[in-house]
Amino acid sequence: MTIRKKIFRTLIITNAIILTLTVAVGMFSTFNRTIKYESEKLNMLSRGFESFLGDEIDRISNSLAVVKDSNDIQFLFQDDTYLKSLSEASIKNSLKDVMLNYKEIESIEVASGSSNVLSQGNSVIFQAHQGKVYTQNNDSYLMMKIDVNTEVSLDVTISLDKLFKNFIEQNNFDVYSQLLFYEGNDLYYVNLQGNSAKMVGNDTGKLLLSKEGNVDGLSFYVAKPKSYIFGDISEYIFLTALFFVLVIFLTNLVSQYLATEISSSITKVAKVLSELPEEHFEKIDVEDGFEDEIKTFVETFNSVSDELNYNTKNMEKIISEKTQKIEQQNEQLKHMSITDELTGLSNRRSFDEQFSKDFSLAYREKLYFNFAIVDIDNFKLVNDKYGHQIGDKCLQLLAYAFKKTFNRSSDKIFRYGGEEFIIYSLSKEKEKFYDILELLRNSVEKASMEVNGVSVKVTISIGAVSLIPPFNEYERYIKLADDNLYKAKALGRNKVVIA
Amino acid sequence: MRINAIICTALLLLVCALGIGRDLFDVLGTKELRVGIRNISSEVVYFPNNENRPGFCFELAKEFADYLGVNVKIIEFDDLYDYFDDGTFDNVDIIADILTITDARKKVMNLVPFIENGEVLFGRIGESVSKLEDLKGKRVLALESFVFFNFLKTELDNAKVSYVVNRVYPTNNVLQYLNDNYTKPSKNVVEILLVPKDFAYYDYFDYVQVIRGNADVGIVDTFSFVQKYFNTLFLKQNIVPLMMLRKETGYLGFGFSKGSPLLAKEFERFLAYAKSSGVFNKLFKKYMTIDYSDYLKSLK
Repeated sequence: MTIRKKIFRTLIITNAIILTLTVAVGMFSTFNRTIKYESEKLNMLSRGFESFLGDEIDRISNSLAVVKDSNDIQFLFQDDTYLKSLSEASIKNSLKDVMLNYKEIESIEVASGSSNVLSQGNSVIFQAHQGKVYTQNNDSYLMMKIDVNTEVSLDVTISLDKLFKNFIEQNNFDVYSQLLFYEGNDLYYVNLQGNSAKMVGNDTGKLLLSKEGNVDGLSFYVAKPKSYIFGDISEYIFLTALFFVLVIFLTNLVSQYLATEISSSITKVAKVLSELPEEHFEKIDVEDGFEDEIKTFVETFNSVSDELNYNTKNMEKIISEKTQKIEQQNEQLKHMSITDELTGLSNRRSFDEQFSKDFSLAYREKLYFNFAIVDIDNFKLVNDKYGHQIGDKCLQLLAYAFKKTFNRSSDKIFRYGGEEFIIYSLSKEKEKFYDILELLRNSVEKASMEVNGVSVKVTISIGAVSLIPPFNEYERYIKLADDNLYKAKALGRNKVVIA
Repeated sequence: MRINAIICTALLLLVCALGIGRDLFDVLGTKELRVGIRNISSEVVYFPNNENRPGFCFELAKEFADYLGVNVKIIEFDDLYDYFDDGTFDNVDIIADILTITDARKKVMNLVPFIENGEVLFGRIGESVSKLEDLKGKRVLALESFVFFNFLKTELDNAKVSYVVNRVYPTNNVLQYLNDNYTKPSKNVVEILLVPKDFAYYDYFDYVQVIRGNADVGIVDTFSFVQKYFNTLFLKQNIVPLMMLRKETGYLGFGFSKGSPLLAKEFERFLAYAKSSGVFNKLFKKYMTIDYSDYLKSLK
């Protein structure tokens, strides 16, 4: 993936996430604010309707006070039929005037107990109770009962549909508002289309409700369908979505531009680098338009390039020098690995590598394999008596003696382990191997080794074999020599036993 | 000395003839105020069936009883004239009614005014009478038992307006002329339809006759008119006040026995207190729907 793509992708994803979060937070906030605003509005409507209804009831009561307090009411129950008829006509006229002023009044009745003495308007409900609501034929009615005295009352039937409609229209309120009220356990609604109906299942889940209002025993809520509330903000949602798409589109363009701008220097440098010939590094021109980081990068590259060019031109010489040096080191390492550090003789590892090959060669080529195992007699006593330092020095001096005695290039001397040494060589002819070994033994016996002012004398026992190997098992050959060494020891040490 | 004895005996006989009422201390002693009143279904006087407004005179008398700290005992009378019968004050301490105060009545009992009053002429809506001359050719209803009849005659005489008096009696919703040879008066005279004393007056009688068309004009006291007019729908929708009969302001009063000067005096004190404290105005407004002060202004 190119840097430009990477930058572009990062920018577009980052912007998309930020934008999405912003839009989500904005939408959430808008929804919340809308709900809160609508709730407050409904509460205001509820309070307003509470006040409106209370005032309307008071106004109606005041208007009816002229009837309620009139003497005419008394005449309705008098025997004088003329007075009664005069009063009836007058009361009806007065009630008619009241109803003309209050269109929501459906009927007003003068009731005595359960009897309807006089009525004006369309009688809807009888036996009214204050604050009681009735629903008939898709219309809801609020009953007002104004007591004239303990027996007589003015029963007023008020259309809640008209009342609510008047309230909403007079105040230019939201036409989707509904009035909810309970009649017993059943919930009813009144809307501005003049419909009153029972709510199925008392389900208010689809409605946003105001706080409960109460006027003269009538408990009610003002409600609004949530679908209308969210309908109101659908335009906002559309605009937000459009804004989102536009911003994403612009972000895309800006991201592309920024990605191109940011990666242009790197792209140029990369192009120059890709066009360089193989194993040939040229300096890159530092342009003024390069960013500081790119300038630093190019300058560093140019510096490295110089070194690379130099290295490329002197590669063979350097490699030769390096190789030689490595070979030397390897040789040194190899030598160290096969040489006994104390005596400078080849060590047991070297013996193991060479012996089997040399023995096979001798067997194959029918050569004499002159093989001896040399063991310092009672060397443990030397170590115990003089200490290991003196012991080590003895070993070094004996090794020196071995090398002086067996100084041909074909002679191989090994420190086999501890105070045990192996000497062997291959020859076409039978050699006086015993004699040389005896010479060695004798020289050691006679020699007095001065070590740190201490004169130490040691003897050696030698078990040897000088034969054309009759078998190819070198272990058996070593066993022969080892057996002879045992015999030499058995003969009292400081002996050479050869087969 | 002899003359003094004769005078004392005469006064004693006079007082006995009028009926000697109980005075203040008797009322306080028995803790009972006996109130004579008419039960005529009138909110102005006494209307016990009306829970809200059982009667202005009744309530004023009850306030007076409360003021004295005694109970009220109602003694019902059938007719206004019954108050003036001998021995009335044997049974009552105070007559609580709208008694128009006249010199003649003052000779019979102590009348303590409680309200200013006048006489108002009224007619059906559309009727136009602004001066006594306008009554010519119209039938004016008057009751012989009420003083308004005398006032009317006096005012017509003073204004030199001719009138004739025809006695009538309410029968089957009409006013039956009692004159055998009744002739309809000319349009230049006022025809007074006089209802005799023996007629059992009932509340709203005058208004009903005018509304029915049995008479063109009626006369009532302003106190009753204001109360009824502002509280009765059918009056407001059928009747209109035309003019005041007299320029002078009269009074309506409660009656006390001549032998109860202390009680009458105490009633005057009570009235002064009630009017200054607002108790009277509150009671007045309850029945009249207007303030007492506005009522006084309307009389002028």
